[in-house]
Amino acid sequence: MGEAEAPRWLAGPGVAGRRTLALVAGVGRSALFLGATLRRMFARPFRGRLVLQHMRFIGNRSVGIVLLTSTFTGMVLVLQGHNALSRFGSEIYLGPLVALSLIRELGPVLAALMVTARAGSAIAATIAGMRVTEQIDALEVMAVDSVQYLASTRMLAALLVVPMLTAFFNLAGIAAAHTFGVSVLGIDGGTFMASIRDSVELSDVNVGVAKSLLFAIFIAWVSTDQGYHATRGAEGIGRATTTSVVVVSVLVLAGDYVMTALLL
Amino acid sequence: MDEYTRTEISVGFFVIAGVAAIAYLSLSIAGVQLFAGHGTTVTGRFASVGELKEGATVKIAGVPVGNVRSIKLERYAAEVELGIADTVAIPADTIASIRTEGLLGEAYVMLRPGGSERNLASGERLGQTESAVDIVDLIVKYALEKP
Repeated sequence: MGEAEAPRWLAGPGVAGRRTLALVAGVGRSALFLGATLRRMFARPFRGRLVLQHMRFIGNRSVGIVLLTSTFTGMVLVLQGHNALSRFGSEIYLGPLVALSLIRELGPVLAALMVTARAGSAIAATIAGMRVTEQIDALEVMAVDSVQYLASTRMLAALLVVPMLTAFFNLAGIAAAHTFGVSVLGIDGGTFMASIRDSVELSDVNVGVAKSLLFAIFIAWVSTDQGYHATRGAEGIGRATTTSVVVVSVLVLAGDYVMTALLL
Repeated sequence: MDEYTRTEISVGFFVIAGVAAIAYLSLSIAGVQLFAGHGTTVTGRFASVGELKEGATVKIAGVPVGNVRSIKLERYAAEVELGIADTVAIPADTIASIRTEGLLGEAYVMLRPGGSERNLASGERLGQTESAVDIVDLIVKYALEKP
């Protein structure tokens, strides 16, 4: 009995304390990483070609899935809205219902979730793979700023591309709602579009754009951070991918509530 | 074609389409206040504006010609400022009344132009106004005054 052993009942609190400390440290590390990423966004040498490649990966390659999901979103909105509003003879509000739901809420949120699922997960996996195969160390050895090279370029690309994808989502959703409503539900297409033009204001579009910019930061931040700080080989890659998708999805939905509460 | 990479071209297409989509959303869908900024501004005093709100439509013969700029209380009456498109002349003896679309629809301002030779200039006042009709008031009146 040289050293006094900690009593058994202290083991529980000890573990809890270590976990809490790890969580707090993880949050701090991510926040510092975000700061480092944003600071290097326009740093020299400016890697324009890399930004273009990331824009193509996050933007162009997401167009298909964004258009597909927005079509169904627009159709279900017009179907539900028509069902609810026709009971009160208020079909004239169908257009504003569809357009405002899409532009203010569903467009930014669903587009961000689709980009996360498609591109965010891939970003986390790619960077985690580079980490565990020591390619990031190799970058540092070559005097390349790895945070700028891997994270800042993707942050800039996401900030440019996500608002545009959101606009595609909104327009395709409205177009699908219009087509479906006119051809299947028999609503008047002219009234539908005129009521949208009457009710949607520039401030609604601005709210949507502000949200999509915030979500773009979430996507680029969490997926690069998770990849950059991946550990433990192949398992670490999988963990980084899963964690980034889950965390971004939660952040997007929570952030959407906060933004709506602030901007309404 | 060798001067440009596939990435440059495809991102170029994406960005052009993206900017066009955002522009269409904010310019056409959001319809950047057609009558805001320029145009004639006339005011009218109403005993009651009912459910009329800022931004509501102003119509002549059912055709939208402008919108409500502001509603203020002045000497216990509602002072309503109407922004009307430049292209429409408002005769001096025009009557303004507040109506609703259908029984429960949105309130709007209906203008009935008179025959006056003189047109109102910006900042002038509409002489005759009719207040909003309160449906509930009418029902109460009818129910109580019935013999």
